[in-house]
Amino acid sequence: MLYSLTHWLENNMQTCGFKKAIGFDCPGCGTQRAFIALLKGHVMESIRLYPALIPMLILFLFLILHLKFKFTKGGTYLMYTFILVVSIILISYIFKMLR
Amino acid sequence: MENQGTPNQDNSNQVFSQQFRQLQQLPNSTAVLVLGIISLPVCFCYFLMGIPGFVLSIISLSMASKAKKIYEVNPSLYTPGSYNNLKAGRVCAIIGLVLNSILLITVIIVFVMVASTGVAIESILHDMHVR
Repeated sequence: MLYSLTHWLENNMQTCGFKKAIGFDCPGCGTQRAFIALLKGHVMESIRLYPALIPMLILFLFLILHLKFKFTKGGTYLMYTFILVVSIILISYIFKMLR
Repeated sequence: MENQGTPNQDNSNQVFSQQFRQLQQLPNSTAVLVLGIISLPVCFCYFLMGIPGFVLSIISLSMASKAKKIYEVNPSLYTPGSYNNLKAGRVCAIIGLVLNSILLITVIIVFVMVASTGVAIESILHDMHVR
């Protein structure tokens, strides 16, 4: 089932509208490739393609858990995770553009 | 909410009621948090660059300001967890708003550049040595 999902995702990759219109990568380019690599089990490959994907997935998992169990300090930790994800995205984007 | 302010008969009952008094969730506090967080991934998805995330973060911010006014009228009525949600959601929405507006402004500038000069974007980028 996981294999078929991966296969379907690989055959239905969407082009980034930003990249199509403007010509260079947007800060979100690479997410799909990284996600497919992660589904295949290549964690390092996924981090190389898009470093912010795994923290972002953790953020969503934590958000769902927080909505379900309502931790008292959960909102604050979510905020710190969010700031971490945003800074990873920006730093990796700057490195990608300078390379 | 029902027990709010009613005097209790004896001490043990008071302790019990303080422990189990129903504190309310702030209205829309989780919605503020969810919208603030969702505005980040929506920001990079797809052709309407920046527009959905922009709208989501603005909705989140307006909800946050309303909920904050409600909280300030009577802070002891609401759970601290939901106030944390509100604060965190507000910060996330502000960050999302900044990112989305940067993206939106970039897209608008590029389209204006293309429309005004009539030069294809590839040649502009080539002159700028971006690619």
